[in-house]
Amino acid sequence: MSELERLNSLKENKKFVNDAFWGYVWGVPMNFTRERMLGCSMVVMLAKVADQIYPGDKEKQKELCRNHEVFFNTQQGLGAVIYGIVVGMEVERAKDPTITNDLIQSIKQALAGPLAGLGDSLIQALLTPILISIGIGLSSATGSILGPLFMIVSYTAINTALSYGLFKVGFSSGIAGAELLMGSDLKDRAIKGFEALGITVIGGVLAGIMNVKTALVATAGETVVNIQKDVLDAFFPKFLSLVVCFIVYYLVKEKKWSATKIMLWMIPVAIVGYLTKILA
Amino acid sequence: MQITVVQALLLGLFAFLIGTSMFPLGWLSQNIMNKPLVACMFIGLIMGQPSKALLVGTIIQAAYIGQMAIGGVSTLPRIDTALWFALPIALTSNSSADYETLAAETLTIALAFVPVNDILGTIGNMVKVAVLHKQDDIIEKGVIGEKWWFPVVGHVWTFVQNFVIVVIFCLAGSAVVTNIVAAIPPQVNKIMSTFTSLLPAIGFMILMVTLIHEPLQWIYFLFGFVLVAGLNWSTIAVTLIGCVIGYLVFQFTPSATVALQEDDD
Repeated sequence: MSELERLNSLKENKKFVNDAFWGYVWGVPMNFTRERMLGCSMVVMLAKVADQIYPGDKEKQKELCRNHEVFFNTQQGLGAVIYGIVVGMEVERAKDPTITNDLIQSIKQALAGPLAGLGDSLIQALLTPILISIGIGLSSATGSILGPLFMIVSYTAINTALSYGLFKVGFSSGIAGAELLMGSDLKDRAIKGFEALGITVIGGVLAGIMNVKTALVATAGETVVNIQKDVLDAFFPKFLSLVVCFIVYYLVKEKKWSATKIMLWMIPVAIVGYLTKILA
Repeated sequence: MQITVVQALLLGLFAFLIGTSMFPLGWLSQNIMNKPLVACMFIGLIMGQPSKALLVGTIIQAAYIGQMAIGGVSTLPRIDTALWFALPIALTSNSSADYETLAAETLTIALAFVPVNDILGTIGNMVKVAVLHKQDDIIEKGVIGEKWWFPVVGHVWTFVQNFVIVVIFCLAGSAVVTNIVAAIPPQVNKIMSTFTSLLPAIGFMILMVTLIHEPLQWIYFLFGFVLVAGLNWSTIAVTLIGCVIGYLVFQFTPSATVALQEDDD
């Protein structure tokens, strides 16, 4: 088999794709530093398959890894497409000297930013909280173990399908795959749909878990009116929880308060609220 | 009640494994294993009180649901190491307390540890940078495929930061905290419960700030809220209704290309 045939066969070689994929899976959490962030994981992945791209040629293998000893950061899940593209392009580069390292680096870095933005808003801010919300809902009444188990199994299954699928798309169709992902109109509509789902579930879970109450009572002659039971619960159950949420939302969104600052302020609010019976 | 040596070692071991972000499936499970509710499940099983630990876990998880790491920077103070000794200490030092009080106690201990945790994290970053450059060196020596896994050595520091710290704090901290808890007047526990009842608002609202792009989206939130608060629907039922709403929104959101064509017409 000629060198060119061997390299061409790598594109169809399942073992090669899987080796690279597992290099990425284990590389991502291995050594995340401020200096290169996910750069290290790219080197780990390429080191794992270097001998399959350049068998026995240590100088070429060194160059392959050395080129990627640079800063790189993206969202790791959607970013799987970049890892796939890089492996695919490195195989191409072994065949065709006109593909330069500069080209690979610029494609890699150009895709990193947009995919990080999309991935953070889609996976970190949407998918994960939806799964956590369901997990909290399953555990909050009885302390059932189902909640965390659901979170682990569902997240890992979805993340595996997503990461593996995108890695393969990146590897086999190169930049076209990334363009498909970023440019698709379907994506924007799907995000809107997922947002609606996420916000509805979050509203429900919050109502289930949050329980701000008042201990105030109003007395008029003989009649004692329990504000929480007789007034608020009849009017709108968990009304106070909703009020607290809106205040916190205002502080985060408009006043730009940090979570720690709000948490610290909640201590005196709880003390004063408890002592004045406004909060129970 | 005290934490036994075996329990402390098991807590340290799992804190370390989850702290590496590699257990059990590397990146595939990384961003779910470090969630407080998952940690509370392991802690509860090790301590023999799974349901109580999980009830505490739901409150802490709710407060931390908005936690994200954007560019490696966390949106909420990081308590993932401290939880592994704070919750066991709370469970053993105040075993008769309700879970809301325990959640407040756990968070108080864990948040007190945040500055130490940040310092340890900074040292950890230096250790990992050293490993990074060591990896560059061994690649230059031509050791490549054989040691592709070399950067995992950086987790030596994860071992110190998680296993060592958790074991020491579990064994030494339990007695100290038990004495402090015994001296606390009962009103303080009530105030702590009030405090924890406010906490979930933080995590959820941080999340809402990133999710809400237009005021009308609050309707979804209020709808979900009312289904549970007013009609007592279960989470699964709300999720199913959420899926239906999500699908309808997906179907009826005009496609950008279609919208452009209509403009042209």
